[in-house]
Amino acid sequence: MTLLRQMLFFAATIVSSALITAGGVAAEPVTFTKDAPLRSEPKFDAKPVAQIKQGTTGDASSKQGPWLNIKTPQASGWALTTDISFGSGGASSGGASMGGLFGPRRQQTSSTNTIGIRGFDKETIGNALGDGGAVSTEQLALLDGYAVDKAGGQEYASGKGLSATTISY
Amino acid sequence: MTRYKLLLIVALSLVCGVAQAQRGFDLGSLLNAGKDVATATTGISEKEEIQIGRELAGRILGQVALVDDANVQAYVNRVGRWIASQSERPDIPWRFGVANALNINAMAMPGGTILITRGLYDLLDNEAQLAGVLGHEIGHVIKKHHISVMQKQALVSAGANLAASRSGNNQIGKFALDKVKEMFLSGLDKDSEYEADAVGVILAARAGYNAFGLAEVLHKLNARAKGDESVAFLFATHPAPSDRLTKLGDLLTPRMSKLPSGIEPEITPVAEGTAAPTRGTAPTAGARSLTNEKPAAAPAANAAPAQKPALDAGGLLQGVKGLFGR
Repeated sequence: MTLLRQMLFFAATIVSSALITAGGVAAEPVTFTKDAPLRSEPKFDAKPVAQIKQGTTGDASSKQGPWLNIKTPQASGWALTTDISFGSGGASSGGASMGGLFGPRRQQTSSTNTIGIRGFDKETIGNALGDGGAVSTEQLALLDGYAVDKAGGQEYASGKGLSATTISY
Repeated sequence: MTRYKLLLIVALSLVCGVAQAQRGFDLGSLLNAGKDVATATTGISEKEEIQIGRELAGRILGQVALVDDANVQAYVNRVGRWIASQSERPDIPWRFGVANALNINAMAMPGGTILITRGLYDLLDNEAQLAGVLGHEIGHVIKKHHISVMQKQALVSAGANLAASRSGNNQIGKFALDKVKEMFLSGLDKDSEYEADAVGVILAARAGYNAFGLAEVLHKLNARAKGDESVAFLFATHPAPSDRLTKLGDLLTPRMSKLPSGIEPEITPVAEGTAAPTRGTAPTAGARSLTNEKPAAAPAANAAPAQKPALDAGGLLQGVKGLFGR
């Protein structure tokens, strides 16, 4: 094996070990923020396969509802989204789309540098509610035009297969 | 009149006295203010709440226009209205809009107007996450978090009348507006934000969505670096996303067995090519100073939304629909 081939093999090994794919989704490093069970299935009443200690790191490879499939050194199983933070060692290093775990990557218009662009920021809100601020009757009219009534919301939900459930706070 | 109300009147009169000195209000206004403090202690009516929220929304949209995509705006209103219908205030005139701003934030105005930035909207992967964000903002409205702050300050009615008696026009007077601005710039207290999170996830669950959509959005926010300008104002006015996640976990985990799993429909993206804001963009068209101008009419509770905008926007809307083939 030539040196070049050895280097290529080494690089491929690193890449493949860094990616635990499930449906093409790259694994995301996670850290448990509390002691929590890993369950055998993404269900609340599924059997716990291990009790994971706070601070344990692992890799999340897929999501189902509120559950993340996580591989830890101890075991693999399902944990709740709220049991972990993304990244290892406490610092969240996940990208804005969490490696596609939460859904397909979408066009991102948000920018890390929004200085000078009007937005919901201190300067713009200050201006809007300050002496120089002014009501846009045109924009309010647009807002009214887009509104739907209660029946419109219900009709939309029915079409999407959403049904209301009674849940107390 | 209770002793508490009397104390409030005296206190506010002193405050207004300072304002009078600064702004030249007359004694008659101060007396009117005294009357209005009693009103403030007994509550701001729903009609007033809607008018206040509408003026605030109009002012913000005077700086940052709605995204020019009628399909997305209608979609967000359908989703938002469905979620709001699961709340204790299903019949106020709910309005939802995506504002053409790149930074990541959302705002609830009293009375049911909710605006989310395009930056935040584009960050969302599915409708359950949108439901979580809108549910949080709806939570602020139904819990009257902003109105409560205004009432605690006992300044809205008083301030409005002080200014109104002077200029005879807008709902929120200059004096009160300064306080409202201060409230929006400094943010609500942490407990109000945590409460809005709690209400938001339950409303999303009631509406049939995965209740953890908001938690996923908080993970996305948590992934943003602290020096990231796009989340700077959001982080300055809200508890840390990691703290919010912890609170949500504490709330939701014990209730998992009773929460329906919910669904995560696809989200409707902003149409490609829709104009994004650029640096130095001028305030939106149609923005006018409130000086000597009558306030925009507020929709009444239970009123059916206008089928077409009151101004000449009907034609504009048709044009937008045609442009994107929807």
